[in-house]
Parts: sequence; C-alpha cells; structure tokens
Amino acid sequence: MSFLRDTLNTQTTDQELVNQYKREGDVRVLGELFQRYMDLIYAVCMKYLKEPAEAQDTVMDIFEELVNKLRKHEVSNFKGWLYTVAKNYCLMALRSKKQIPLTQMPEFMQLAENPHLENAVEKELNLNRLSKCIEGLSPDQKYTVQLFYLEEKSYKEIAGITQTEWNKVRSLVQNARRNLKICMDKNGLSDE
Amino acid sequence: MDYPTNSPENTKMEEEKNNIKYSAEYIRKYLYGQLSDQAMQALEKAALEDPFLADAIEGIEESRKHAVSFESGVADLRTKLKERISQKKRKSGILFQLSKWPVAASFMVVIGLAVFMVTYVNKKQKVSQTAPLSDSSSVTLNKSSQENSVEDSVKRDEPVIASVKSRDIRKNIAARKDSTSSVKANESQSDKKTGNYLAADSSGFFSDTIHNAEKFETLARRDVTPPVAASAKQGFYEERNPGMVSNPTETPSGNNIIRGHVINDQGKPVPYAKVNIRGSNKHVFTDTAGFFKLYMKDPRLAALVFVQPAGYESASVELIPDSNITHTIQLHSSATDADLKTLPDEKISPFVTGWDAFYHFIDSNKKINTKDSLMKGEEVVSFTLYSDGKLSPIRIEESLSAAHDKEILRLILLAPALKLQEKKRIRCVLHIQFK
Repeated sequence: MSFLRDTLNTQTTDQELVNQYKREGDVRVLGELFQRYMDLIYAVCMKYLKEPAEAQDTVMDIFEELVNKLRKHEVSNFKGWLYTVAKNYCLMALRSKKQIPLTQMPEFMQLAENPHLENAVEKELNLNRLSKCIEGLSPDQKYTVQLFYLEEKSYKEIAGITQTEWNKVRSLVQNARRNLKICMDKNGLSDE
Repeated sequence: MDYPTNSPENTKMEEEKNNIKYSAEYIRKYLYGQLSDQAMQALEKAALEDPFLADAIEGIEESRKHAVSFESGVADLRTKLKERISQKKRKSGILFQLSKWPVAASFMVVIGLAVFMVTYVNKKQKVSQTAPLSDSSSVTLNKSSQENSVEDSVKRDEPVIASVKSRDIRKNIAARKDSTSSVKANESQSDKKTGNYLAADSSGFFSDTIHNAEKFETLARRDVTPPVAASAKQGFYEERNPGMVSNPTETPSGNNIIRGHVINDQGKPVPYAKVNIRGSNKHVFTDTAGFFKLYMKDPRLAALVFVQPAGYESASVELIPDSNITHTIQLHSSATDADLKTLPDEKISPFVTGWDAFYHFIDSNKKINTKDSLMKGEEVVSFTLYSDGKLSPIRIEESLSAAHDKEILRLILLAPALKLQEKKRIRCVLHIQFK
C-alpha cells in the first residue's frame, strides 16, 4: 500500500474514495483511503502524545472517528480535514490528561492546494510591500528570512552560516514569516 | 522572491510534488540529512505552508528518541488496520442499517406512547365526569399520587369519607386492575349499589373496603366513587349515646346529610373512629377532629349510627339527616381494652407522631375473613417512614398467614399518616395482635 504514495494515485483520488465510502459505507474503502495518510497521522500523533504505543492507539481511534464522521460530514479536502480531525483528537486527549501543550498558534491553513493567482501588477505591488515589511523585521529574523527565501538555503545551511542551532533557525523563519504576514495584512495584502 | 505562478497545471504539479515529498519516508531522509540542501529547503518551505507536514516532521523527529522506531510503529499500524477492516467487513452493512433502526424504533415508541396517552386520557375524561379518581395502588406505599391523595384526605380536617360498595361490585372491581373500570361498574350496576355514598367536600376521596377484604385481589384499593344519591338499601340507623342523647324528633330539613362529631369522655375529639350504619356494610371514619358525614338516601329516615372506635365502648345513636345539625356523640373509654396497645407517641419515638391514631386504626379495623381467622398470634411488619410521610415497601417480619399479611398491608395503606419530624427517615416495626 505504501507504494501508492510514490506514484501518483492513478487508481482513485482521495475525493473519489470519499464519495465511494459515503455511498457504500464499506470500511474497506475507508481503510484504503486512510492508509494513504496513516504514517503521517501517526507522526502527528507522535508529536503530540510523544509515546509510540499511545500514538498507535490514537491512530486507530481516529480511524473509528472517521467511520462515523465521514458519513455525516461533507468533506472536499480529505487530507486537510483528516489532519484537523487527528490534531483535535490528540489535543482533546492531552487536555483530558491535563497536559495542555504550548498554545498552538492558529496557523493559517495554507495547503498547497490553495494557491493564489496573481497577475503581474499585483505581484509587483506585493513585492514592494514585502521588502518594506522585511526591513521591519528584527535583524536575526531578517537575515534568516533572506537566507531562506532569497538564497533558498535550508535550515541546516543557515545554521552553519549563522552559527545558530537548527531549531532556532526554524523558529526564526517561522516567526519571521508570521510577522511578515501580519505586516502585509496590515497593508491590506497577504503574503502567499 | 520566489512566487509560484499558479496556473492550474502548475498547481496540480505542486500538489503532486508535495504529495511525494510528504511521505514519511521522505521526511525521514530529510531528518537524517540524506537530502540535498535544495531539497531540504524546499521541504522546509513547504512545511511552513502546511501545518500537517510540519507536525509530521516533528512527530518523526520525536520518534527518533524512542526505542520503537517509526517504521515498526507504522508496520504495526498496518497490521492493526487490516484486522480492523476485516472485522468490520461483516458489520459495516449492518451498522449502516442499524443507524436507521434507532430512528424507526424511537418513532415507534413515540407512537406507542401517543396511543397509550390517548387511551389513558380518554379513561381519565370519563372518570372526571363523575369524580376525581385515584388509581388502585399496590403494596409499595411510595407510589406518589396515591399516597398524596390518601394522606391529603386523611390529614385534612374534614370528614373522611368512604364509599361503600356491595360485595358484587367489589368482586367485579377487584377483578379489574384499574379504577376507571370500577367507575363503569358503579355506573352500570346501580341496583346493586349500597346506599350512602359519601363524598368529601373537596377532592380527597377515600375508599374503605375493610369489610370485604376477602374480595380483594390487590392489596389496597382506593376507588373513588361519586357522590350518588344512593340507590341501594338503607337501614334505619340509631345512635345511642350514654352520655348525651340526640334528639330523634328533629324535623328533617330535606337534606340528606348526617353530620356527627365524636368525642370521648373528656370532651376530646376521637379521630379515626369507625362510624357504622346499622344494617349496612358502609362505614366512614371520623377525621382528625372527630367529625364525620353521612349521606342518606331517604332524608326522612333516621339512621342508626354505630360508633366503634378502638379503646372505647361502642355507641349507637339514631339520627335523622339534617344538614344544619351536627350531632355530638360522646364515648366512654372501654375498660376491657387494656390489651390494646395505646402507645403514646413518645414511646415509639420522639420523631414520629400520629402513631396513636395509626395504631388504633389498624387495630380496630383488622379483620380476617378467611379460614385463617382462627390463627392467633402476632403479625409483625416493618417499614421505613420517610420525612414526607411516605412509607417504604412493607416487609413482613413475622407472618401468621398470607391473609393476615394482606390484611395488615391493606390497613397500613389506609391508616392515617404518620408524621416524621426532624429526621429524614426512620425504621418502624409494627406488632399486631390477632386473637
């Protein structure tokens, strides 16, 4: 089943499987769909629960949730929806164990499936605004962002260049990105 | 800055690329530094866009800290999922259908309830045309509405009134489970009705069926019968009073009521005394103030009223119905009833009041009409009295016979209420002597 990941799904798209499951209610269909993302879901559960055994149980629990939820809800983007279900389930489990994780920043759900179409003029405007916003960043963030986006260096490389830890680089980039977004939104535009 | 020009084809390519990159295997490579810098950067950029990917990366990272490798965890999961799917294979179709069943089932329940309600309401309507009814009760005393109506009627300072039925009617009624049919029986068998139906002033009705204990199937029945200008036989009634004599030559007022007030030799009212009409099985009980009311079919006839409370000599007086007069009947204590346990309340318990009346009631009205009546001894029962006056189901501690049990249970249900003060509940034991 994992081979499917490497090749494009020539057989059926996610959406087709979703529709089939809603029609027929056959858990095998759901199982096949779930398997496409099971390891990533397991990884997500590992992130929150931090224990392999627990994470495995949770993955199976999430599957059970899907059995019912997918029947009831309209789902157009299965992957994104699945992620949300899984994450919420993990957070609920953590909350009941009274281990509230660090408050999750409400990330914009920017999936690659949602691109922005921009014409040339708009892009030009955006670029201008963006450079201004970058100027507004702190030096660390600014430098890191430039390395990451402009010079397309990986975190690892940037860590080497700036003599900072990999994790720190990552969080710098993430924070910078957030700040840029806020800055761009203030000016009436969002940075995609 | 690298902004993708997202035409539809590019989008699809992006998605596919991302999908490929998103594999856990690929992430593992990333984490182990097996990707090129460019590839790494691309993944990182994608992770910034996609929280799912970001979390997955962190999760696999986390997994590296554990003895159980990420891959083996995934392999276990695949096995588990396969098992799960094959289990559910059989059930899935059923589950789908089952989900509709609860809807259908609850629908049926609703319909069933509606039908039940309609029939019940119809019955109630019929009843309410005549009089408010209380349903037949069972032994468990804490059936609420029953208790309330009985206790209410008992506690109220009004004549406690009983309806008396003929044996035939009783038989019919006892055979049926609900009081509504008893109403029908009453209505249909007017010629068999005994006279003197007695009605309370307000809604409390109380039916005393002591005389026909043997006819009962249910242990306690409270049937409320409407005040009917009784069509059955009435005898002459006399009330003889050693102390005071009522005036038998009173001119009848055209009304059907005999009112009486029973007092003892100290002038105190005698509650819960049985007031009989000679020649009839009917009787009533005096209320807590000693008053009673009798309805007479023929107002011109005098009634021989027989008062027979426990602990007193019985008295009888002839009375003529006159609503303007309340006849006072004075009783003298019986010297021979010392064996009756007149237990002042304090002896039982400082918390329970009304024990006196309760006990008197039971003791004066107990009657076994079956062959078991020859059995002598003590019947012991126990129950829990609650603060609202309700009793728990009664437990038979010592039984003389089934008939005795039934009789005691019946009497307890009909007896005046006990009051509990200061405590939530108290355990009571009752000893009844049968001689």
